[in-house]
Amino acid sequence: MKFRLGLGSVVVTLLLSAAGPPALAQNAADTAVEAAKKFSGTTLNLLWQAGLQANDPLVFSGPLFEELTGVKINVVEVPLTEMFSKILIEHRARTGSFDVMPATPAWLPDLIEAGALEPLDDFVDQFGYREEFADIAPVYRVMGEYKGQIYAFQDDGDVLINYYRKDLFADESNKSEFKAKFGYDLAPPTTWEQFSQISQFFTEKFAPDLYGSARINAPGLVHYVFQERFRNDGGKFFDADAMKAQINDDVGVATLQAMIDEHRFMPPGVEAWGPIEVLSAWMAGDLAMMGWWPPPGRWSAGYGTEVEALAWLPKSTVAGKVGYALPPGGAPELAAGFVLGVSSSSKNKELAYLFIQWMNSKDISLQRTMLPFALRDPFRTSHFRSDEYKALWPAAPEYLETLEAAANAGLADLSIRSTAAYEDALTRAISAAFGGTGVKEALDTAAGEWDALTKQIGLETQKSSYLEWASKSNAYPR
Amino acid sequence: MSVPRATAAVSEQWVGGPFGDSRFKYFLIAPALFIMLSIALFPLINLLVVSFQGISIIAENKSFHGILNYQRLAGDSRMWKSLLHTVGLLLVALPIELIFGMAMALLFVDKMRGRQIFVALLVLPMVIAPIVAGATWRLMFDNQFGPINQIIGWFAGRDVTIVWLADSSFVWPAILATEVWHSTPFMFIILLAGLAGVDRSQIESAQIDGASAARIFFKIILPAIRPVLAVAILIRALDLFRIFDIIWALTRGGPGTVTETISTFTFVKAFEQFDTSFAAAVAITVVLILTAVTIYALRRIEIAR
Amino acid sequence: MAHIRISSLHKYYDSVHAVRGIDLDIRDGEFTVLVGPSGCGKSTMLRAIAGLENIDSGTIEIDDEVVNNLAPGDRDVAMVFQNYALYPYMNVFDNIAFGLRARKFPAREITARVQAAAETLDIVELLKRLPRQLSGGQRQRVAIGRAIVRDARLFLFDEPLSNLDAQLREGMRVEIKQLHQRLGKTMIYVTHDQIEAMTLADRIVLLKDGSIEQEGAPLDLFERPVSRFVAGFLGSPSMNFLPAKLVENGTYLGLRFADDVTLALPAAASQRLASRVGQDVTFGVRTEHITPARDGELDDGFVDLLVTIDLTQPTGSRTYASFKLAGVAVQAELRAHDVEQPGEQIKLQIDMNRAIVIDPSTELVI
Repeated sequence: MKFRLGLGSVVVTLLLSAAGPPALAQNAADTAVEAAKKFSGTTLNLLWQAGLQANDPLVFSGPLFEELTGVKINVVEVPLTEMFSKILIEHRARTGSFDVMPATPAWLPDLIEAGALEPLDDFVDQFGYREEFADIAPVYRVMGEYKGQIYAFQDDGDVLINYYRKDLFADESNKSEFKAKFGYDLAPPTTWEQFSQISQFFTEKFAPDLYGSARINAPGLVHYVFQERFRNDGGKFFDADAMKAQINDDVGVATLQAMIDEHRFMPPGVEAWGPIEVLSAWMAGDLAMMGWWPPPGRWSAGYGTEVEALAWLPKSTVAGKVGYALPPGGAPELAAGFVLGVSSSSKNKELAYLFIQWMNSKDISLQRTMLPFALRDPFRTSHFRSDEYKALWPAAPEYLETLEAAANAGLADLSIRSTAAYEDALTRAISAAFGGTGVKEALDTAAGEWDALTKQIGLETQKSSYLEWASKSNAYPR
Repeated sequence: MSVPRATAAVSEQWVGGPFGDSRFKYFLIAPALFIMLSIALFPLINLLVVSFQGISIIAENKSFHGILNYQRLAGDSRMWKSLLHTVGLLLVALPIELIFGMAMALLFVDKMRGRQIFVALLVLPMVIAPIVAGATWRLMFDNQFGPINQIIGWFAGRDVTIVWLADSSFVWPAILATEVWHSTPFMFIILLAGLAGVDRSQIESAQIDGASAARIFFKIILPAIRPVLAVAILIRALDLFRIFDIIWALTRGGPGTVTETISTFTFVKAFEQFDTSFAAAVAITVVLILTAVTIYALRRIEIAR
Repeated sequence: MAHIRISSLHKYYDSVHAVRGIDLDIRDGEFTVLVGPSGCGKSTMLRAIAGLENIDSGTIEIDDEVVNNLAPGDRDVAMVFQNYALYPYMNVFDNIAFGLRARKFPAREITARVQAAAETLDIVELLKRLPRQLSGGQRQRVAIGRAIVRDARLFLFDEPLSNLDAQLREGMRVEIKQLHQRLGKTMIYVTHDQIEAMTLADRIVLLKDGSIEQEGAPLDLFERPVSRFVAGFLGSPSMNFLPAKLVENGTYLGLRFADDVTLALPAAASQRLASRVGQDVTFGVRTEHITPARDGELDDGFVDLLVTIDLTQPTGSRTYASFKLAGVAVQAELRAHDVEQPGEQIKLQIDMNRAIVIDPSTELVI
């Protein structure tokens, strides 16, 4: 905990001085601050994901907001895996124990239908946020909308992009050997078949010093990979009429089978790897490619990794050698990603709203996405084009360009009623197949569970929820 | 001690207990009883009520749904499988813990140099919270950096990459090892206390009578520690039936549902999927099973009488 | 039947030297009592003979065979424990039969032998009972039954009567003595009770601090103790001891006490002690040798003394009375009505033939 204090004061001082004299034109951040000043002295309770993420409100935005408005920000850290439970339980018990509520889009249908989130449209108009709201990349902007109303602001540009080692891909001997073997030029893969072959090439040539790629296979996360690849290859989660699960169709089986087959070209034991294992191997220079969220783009360039909060991170051995690309198929998963909402049981909804408007505003959100340690990633058009951001490291313009392209083509996670149960069934099928169960058998089981869940939730209820989600442009590849 | 008395006379002295007024004892236990009822009975009744309702993530439907949830669980093969896993683990882990615990206790019951230190060290796993034990063993079983693969590698003479916690054929042995490591000390310490209470002269008398070690163990020691043994087995059996932390920390029931136990299943249903009433029905079913088994067991070991 | 030979037996418990080089021969059929205060090593010796304790050096032979490394079960001995060590979950029959079953006797012989042992001990009607349903005395019989049923060559008793009340103890003592006479087995019996030792033993081995202080027939030890310790240990009430000085006293020698009272020593003692005139000594005399003076001439070797009685302890048949001699309390054994009240004066006689004189520097009788 100690590092946060030291770090916080430094950051706050820096940003206060950076903010400079008040701007003449009122931006959304200033509006929010002005309006929040009347609540000076009150305390706002934030639920936040435990870990690095919490450094944002703990050492940066929280202290800064208090400095500006006199409102105290109290952060309640909860592990990601328990956040949804916590939110719903607190809501059902009407404890009102926190005001600001972060969520992933996949939880929104349940939370909104349960009445846990406050609709924000009126506040948006009252505090003049329309213009800056529109700056959020379209694919992210629609995340917090449900049945025509705004319930939350996308606050994090989470997307799985493909990182690759430019040095290895540009190496002449690699290039010629690869071409000789597979008959086409070595370049970031655009299909999963290419991905597998490139993995195979590097693994066969360099293992055990270097492997072609690795994947985040941890339960609870691996389903994102499946969701992405399944949809890129034309899969649909349900048939829209009967709401019958289709994840066990030919596309689903082929997707999962391919995922398993690729393990041959990944480091031994990759079946059990989580994000940290993949990231560590990447930073150590042991991988030619990796699919991950945006932060490694900054870290592998060495940006900001000297802060104490990131001391655990292996020192990058790949700085300057990292290329960024869309994953094969071209429509990356907007995996998880946080939105900010206001708890309907908050006793101070206006203040809670003002805080999230301030957090989410162009100005402040740019600062937050540039924090090295808070895991918030660019999600606004203005972020992608920020000169300030582009100047952070040499390849930053390329990075932002890739993130913008990814955001434009991105696929939202399946977000329907009781999504967690569907994700759980899918995750179990995938890990069972990794563990030795037949692919078809595993997916059949999962599809059976999906159908049972749908029946239990109510076919019509779930159908309308699914159609609401599927009608959004980011549900399936465009 | 020097004045033998007929047992009947001894027990007569204590009729009515140390406090003659029989109402006074109820007065004494009333506060404890009240607390027990409020923290145990009320939730249980509430659980029972909820199990007949239709509360789920979709709706807080508190109308009477009859035995719908119970019908659902009867047909839920995942639940029955998790129950089977639970019982299977119990049937394998309990004898192993018992045998190891007994062997260790027999080893350390005699006075020897450094005994106290050894016993203290051996009991250490017990003072570690199961969730921490699980998390620690998760690292031990890590296929990349974990010492277990390394040690096996030394013996095998080559790199071993067993993905302990993601491979269905290795995951149960991993859980079993963790559970046995964590819980054998409990058996050990209880049995050690039991063995320490065995009259040494009975054993010596049997030795002089020419009885073999096995005969002494089965005819003298085992009957003497039978009540202790029965309680230890009962406690461990109930613990194993409720096993959650270690499995949650190691595998969360995975891969797939291969290592799901009734507790992890109930947790997932209740707190991850908010299938609240269904989870309540599962919990009630488990309570019924455990109550029946416990009553039967207590009768068998003649403690509850 | 067995004879035991123990040579230079040593036993340490950590740093405590519990048995310090004991040599002891026990003859066939002899009833030997090991007696001494707690911590004297008597139980350790018994357990060493049984094989329950390892010994650090020396040898234990039974019938000329060194048994040092023989397991208890292979020594063909039987033992009765202080707390009986009955197996609580077996009935009396099974308790007695345990050793026979362990040694794989045929079932029919087991039944016959248990029956015979039970008859010997008069516990036939208890065979189906559990130990906890028995009284202390009954348990004791079962424990003895368990020992005799095997017909072992050597019987060991480890304070077997100490958990019984006084009355039962007396009865069991008689029975054990009868048992010994009937079976004729070699028996070694440990006790801290000198009365048990005196009444039961063919031979007493009196131990102190891990060494043998004196051994021999009970009356030998009682009448001719070699040391103040032996003299004080045996006999009840305990022997009176007083500091005195050996002085010339006419023809013979005398013992002069602090208050200048001098008691004349008889001729034999005077001769024996002649060279020690002028030395400080301890005078020892048993209560039964201080009795009311008869009228008329004193017997040879008797001295008389007029004393004031401080305290009386009537026991019925006789009364123990205390008086002060040279400031030290001394007990005399009187008849029931010799003294009615404390404070009365009485003339006592002391049998100086039976008194002992001890060198206080060595504590040995001189």
